[in-house]
Amino acid sequence: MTIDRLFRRFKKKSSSEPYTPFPGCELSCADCENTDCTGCTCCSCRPAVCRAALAGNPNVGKSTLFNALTGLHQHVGNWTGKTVACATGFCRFGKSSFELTDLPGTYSLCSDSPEEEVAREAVCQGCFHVIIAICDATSLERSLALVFQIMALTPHVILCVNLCDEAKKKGIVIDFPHLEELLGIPVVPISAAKGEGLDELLKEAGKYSDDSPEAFQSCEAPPEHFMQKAEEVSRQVTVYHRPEYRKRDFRIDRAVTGPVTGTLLMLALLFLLFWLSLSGANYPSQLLSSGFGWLEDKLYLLAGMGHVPGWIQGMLISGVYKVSTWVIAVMLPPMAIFFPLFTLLEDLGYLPRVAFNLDHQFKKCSACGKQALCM
Amino acid sequence: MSSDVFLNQLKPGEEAVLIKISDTISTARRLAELGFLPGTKITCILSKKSGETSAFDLRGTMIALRKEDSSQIAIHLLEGDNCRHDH
Repeated sequence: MTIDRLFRRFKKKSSSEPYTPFPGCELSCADCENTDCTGCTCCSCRPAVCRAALAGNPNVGKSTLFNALTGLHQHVGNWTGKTVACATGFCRFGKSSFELTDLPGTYSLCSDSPEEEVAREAVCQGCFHVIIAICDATSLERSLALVFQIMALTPHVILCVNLCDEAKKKGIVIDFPHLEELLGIPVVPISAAKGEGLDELLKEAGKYSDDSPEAFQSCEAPPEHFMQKAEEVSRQVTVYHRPEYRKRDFRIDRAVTGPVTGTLLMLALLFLLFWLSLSGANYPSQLLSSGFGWLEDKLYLLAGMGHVPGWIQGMLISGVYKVSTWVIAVMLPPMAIFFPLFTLLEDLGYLPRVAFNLDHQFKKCSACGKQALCM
Repeated sequence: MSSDVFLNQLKPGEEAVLIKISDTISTARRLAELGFLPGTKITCILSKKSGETSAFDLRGTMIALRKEDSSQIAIHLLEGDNCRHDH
């Protein structure tokens, strides 16, 4: 199923995006000279578009949704805190235009880590017409806590429950009308990776475009308060039909992180990954370089026919052409093999397990297991 | 209830209820935000080097902690009926 998702991701990139990116929005403000779309610092002016922010826990698919809506390609990662600065993009749905901001993922808006500060300021400064709070359908309880925090700050919230396809697979059923009733805000089920439910989401968000953005006070209530609310609500709306699904997950987890099996599997996978990208790349590399060599001969022929002076020929063909094609022939195939394979491991969720395996060793040199992924 | 048992002593498959996080650690607030609150049911899923690094399931999410953090979390062990997983 994960492989499916991977292919879908590649396919989506090549096909045309359903939402047209919105190129020229005008933001005219008398007080500040900032006329580009990314934001007016004084906040008193009304932008011509509906400004919406995507907020949610880390790893619930904010960036995936952002990319699906705007047609941009923000990097989507499977680990916490990948988005630290906010990215902004535009899209149009029907008559309304949207300016979407992808906020960093946070568990709360109250503490002081850099991501949380960015997210809190963005929500509190009131530059947005509406906050789209994103939840993970597979662990609704945890992601709802943040939604309650946002709701304490602003009434303009839409709850967007992502990963509905995953939840369905795991036998988790959520009663959306009941959830809507309990929360008192619009709830839209989506699955961003498949592009389902995006129309409904934008339709809901568009209703807020006439309201003026407001600024809000920062929250002071303790996180426990919101967590308890979340626990209560999620218990009322979720039904788990297949508890054995998780047990199977746990068994796999135990195998891939076990002291013997985990290490062997990790070494084997890393070896396979590097072997495929290094020695597997030789064949396309050779093919490319012979192709480029053939073209080089033709270029010399052409230059000879056009009576191009020898030093120009040397500079352009043996110089510029040869060096750049050489680099492409050597570098392109390993990358074209390595990155999809790495993405596959990432989508399988194997990388956090590697981090878990290696954390102990990395701790000895004052690093943490997560850094293994960069190496 | 004795609070002598700490989260790092939990073995894979065992369940416990959280009693208190010691406020001497800087991560106490962060852990609370992640859902480590008094009364929360926690299941240990994975444990490496006898609790040096462990992964726990709480509120439907898996979270891995180092001993420095998990040893500051006091728990009450739940005696297992169906807690033990087969190997």
